[in-house]
Amino acid sequence: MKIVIIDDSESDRYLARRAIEKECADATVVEYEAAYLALGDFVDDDRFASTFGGPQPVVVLLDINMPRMSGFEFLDRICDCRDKESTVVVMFSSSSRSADREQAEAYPLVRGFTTKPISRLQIRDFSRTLSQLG
Amino acid sequence: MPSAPLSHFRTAIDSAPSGALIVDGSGAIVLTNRKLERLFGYEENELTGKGVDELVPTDARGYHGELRSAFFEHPSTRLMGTGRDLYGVSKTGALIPVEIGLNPIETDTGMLVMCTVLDITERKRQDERFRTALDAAPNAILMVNGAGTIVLCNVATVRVFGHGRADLIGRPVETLIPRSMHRRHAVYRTGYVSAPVPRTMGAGKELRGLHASGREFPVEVGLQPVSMPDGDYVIASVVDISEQYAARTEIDKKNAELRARNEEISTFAYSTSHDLKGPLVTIGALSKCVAEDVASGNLDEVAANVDRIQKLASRMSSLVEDVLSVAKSEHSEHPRTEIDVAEAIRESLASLDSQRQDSGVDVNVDVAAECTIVSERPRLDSIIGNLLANAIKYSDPEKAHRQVWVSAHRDANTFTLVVRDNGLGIPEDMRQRVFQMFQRGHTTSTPGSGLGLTLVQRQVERLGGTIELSANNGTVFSVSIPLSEAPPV
Repeated sequence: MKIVIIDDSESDRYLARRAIEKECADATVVEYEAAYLALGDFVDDDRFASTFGGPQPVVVLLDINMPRMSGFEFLDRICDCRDKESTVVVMFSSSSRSADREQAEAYPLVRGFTTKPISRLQIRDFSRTLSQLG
Repeated sequence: MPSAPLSHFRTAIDSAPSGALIVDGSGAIVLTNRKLERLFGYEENELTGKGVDELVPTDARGYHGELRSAFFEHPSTRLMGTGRDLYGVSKTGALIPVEIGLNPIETDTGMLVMCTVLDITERKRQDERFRTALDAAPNAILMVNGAGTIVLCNVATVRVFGHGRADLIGRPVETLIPRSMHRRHAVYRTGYVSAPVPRTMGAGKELRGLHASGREFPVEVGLQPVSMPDGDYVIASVVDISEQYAARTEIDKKNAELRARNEEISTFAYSTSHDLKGPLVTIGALSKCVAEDVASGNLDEVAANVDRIQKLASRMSSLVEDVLSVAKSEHSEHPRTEIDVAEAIRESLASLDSQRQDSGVDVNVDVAAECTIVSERPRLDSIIGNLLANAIKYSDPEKAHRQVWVSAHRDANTFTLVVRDNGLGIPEDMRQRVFQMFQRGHTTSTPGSGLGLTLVQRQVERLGGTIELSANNGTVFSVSIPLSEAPPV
């Protein structure tokens, strides 16, 4: 399973990675420190296939509040290129603002919304849901 | 026409309800009744045989004879001097306001004229009272006849519209209305006269008056139909609402500002709590990791996480400081002092020296030694400090020569500060929003608060100046601040 973390905070990426490593030892983690840096790998089909291609969809843990390009702006840019069979997005944010949650739910790619820090329990839940999907 | 003897006229004028006299073609008084004698203060028959000019005020005597002759040439039953104020003069020389009716009478000895003389002192007094009442009104009041002609107006009308009272009487009421509305107003006016009810004019519409100077101004108008023996009139009461209008516009503007400010405050509160809560939550989670790793003896990991915690804590504390600075920038008042700009820049650079050395940036300063301005020092320091800190922080590590250029100069009325770097630059899509709160343009290992440029912009605005962002192999911020004092000689 491939899990992508897009977050500008190094500490938050570390915490997510640590939880993933503890819960799904077989997962491959790819990190981006900004949404605009991840964009190319998601909008280009060839790059997407070579980076994340596999039988299972890629899981994207996407921070909302990031410099230059927010999580939502990132979703706006990739939603025409990716479908929900290949990409599962879980938004994670330190905000639990309901407007953010509602906005997140409006994107078909988004399967979950969680507040930071992401817990091992949540990772376990996601991986279970995903293995059922796969 | 059959003629009648004088004695018949005596009976006629004695029974008249007002003063009456009979005058012949030469202007001699033939007969007077008692009412007339009493009105003018004469004894019985004292006036008989005297010239009628005895009863005419001195200043009118000059032309009265001529008018009388004209009347005898074209006699008709009518009121004398229509439209003019007529006065008689009593034996003691007192002026008496009168209304005079003229009735030509053919007799065997020639034409005579019977004049009825009505004392209108009381009517004049009431008229005067009415005018005084109108003049006491704070708003313009004018009376318009069915043809749209102004027949009466009060002093406030003169003040509100800037026309003399005499200029307005007899003029069309459209004189007081902007030209663009004339045609429509004439139609409305005709409509109103055909179905008059008291009401305000132009319900829901913004009405405008026209001042003699050509200036248009907002008005409120009340209309009241008045029926008089000689026709129907409309009394219009006009209030100049320029002040209320201006006050309302000002209130609307203030309201919009308040709304914007409120929105900003709620964004500010949201973003601040979000930006503070984020690192705090992360610190909590990292501490948990530390506890786990201490238990399992993984001390390298502990050291790494303690380092993360420290960075987050220092980031939070600088965020709190920045938030405070932004909040303070709104309210604080600083004394205006004479500032040596070169020295202010030197001090800012000194406090940034360790960051500058860490980033390996060369700073080039171009300020005339005698560049002094009078301004608020803390605001200027904040502007210079933040712009320099940004220029140093966002230097491009790929470049061999990382440079920042600061230049400052003043002319008679403007101070200009330009901070330029050859650093990472601000992406085109960010340039619109860099001055907004909590907008960060770069992902760096030591993220900023997203408040630095917000603060700079506010300080510049507080000093009445402007800040512009442009790009030239890096970033260029140009600040200009108006100066009120003359440059030192």
